Amino acid sequence: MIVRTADRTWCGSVADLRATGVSGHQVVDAVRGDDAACRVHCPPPGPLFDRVGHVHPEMGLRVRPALAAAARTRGLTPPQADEIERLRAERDEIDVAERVPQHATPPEDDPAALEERVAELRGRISALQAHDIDASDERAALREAAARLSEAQTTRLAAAQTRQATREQRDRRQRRLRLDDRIANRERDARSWLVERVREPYERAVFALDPSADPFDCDPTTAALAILRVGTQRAPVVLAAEQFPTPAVAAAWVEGPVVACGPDV
Amino acid sequence: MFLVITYSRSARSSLRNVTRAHEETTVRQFGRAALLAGTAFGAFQACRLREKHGRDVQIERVEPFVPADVPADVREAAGAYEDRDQPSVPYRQFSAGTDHPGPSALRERDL
Repeated sequence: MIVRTADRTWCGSVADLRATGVSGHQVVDAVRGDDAACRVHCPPPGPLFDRVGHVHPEMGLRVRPALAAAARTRGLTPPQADEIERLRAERDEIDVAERVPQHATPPEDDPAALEERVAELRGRISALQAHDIDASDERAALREAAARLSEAQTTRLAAAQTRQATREQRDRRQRRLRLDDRIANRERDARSWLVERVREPYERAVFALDPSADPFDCDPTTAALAILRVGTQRAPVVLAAEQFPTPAVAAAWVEGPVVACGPDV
Repeated sequence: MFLVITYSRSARSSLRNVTRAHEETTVRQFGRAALLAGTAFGAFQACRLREKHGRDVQIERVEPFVPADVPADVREAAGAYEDRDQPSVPYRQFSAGTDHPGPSALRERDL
């Protein structure tokens, strides 16, 4: 790891930035490769870094997901992994894009009534013709009614197609939601499996840091440091906590590089 | 009233937050769907969910049902069928040869 601030450079597994005024959040940005008040050359941070990469008293931490991430860095793969991958692939194949123009408005004229009117006019026309009476008014009315009927039928069909397409799209969304729920359940099972695999070393690590602490209900910095002890991290840990006398002791504890920072102002 | 149906995990949890926070506006909650009061506030919450989650939120306007919404012959058919002597008789058979409308006639009729 190489850490550079405006006027100093650190190489190796420890960088002590406590006297520089560079904040932990700035170092975290630098580790992620964003522009910051310092530069950090290091391996890219992984999912464990997102959870426990920045150890400070105000940090939020959900112990079990972080512990599961630590277990994964040890090469553990839960038995649910294949099924989760399969469900994800199935889920991503579901297409919920809009294809249909919106024609949900029903026709103004009632097609059934128009049909009746068309039939009635036809009947009247043939009756008038049979008696050699002029039927041109009726013919004009028939043409108009037939045109309106055709329009109403078209609109009605379009509305029915839109309704059908909307329903099918909702069916697909519903199927996707069911899959999301199944994926979430399998992921929860996978996390439990992973947590059980590393529970003992984690509890030992918490005990070594603070013998009175409850491993699943303790100070977040204690839990985070114990999780880092259990997991393997190649990116540096950004540390703004008081547990260790020197950053070098912290680096030996996490078995990886450490950047020590003062408390955020 | 407004029936709000959700189609994603995030939309569902937003809907739950709304129904928990606004019990007076929530007529009923059913898992990923809820019936919101037909007030401007109910509409506001429904529209807000729709804005936030797009097509993962379906909104339908619903009205309280009164028997008068249904034509008398349909209501009478339902009453007569539920009052039948043999429980195993399907409605198709029950309605044949009576004044009650058959199942396909019922299906084709829009109310």
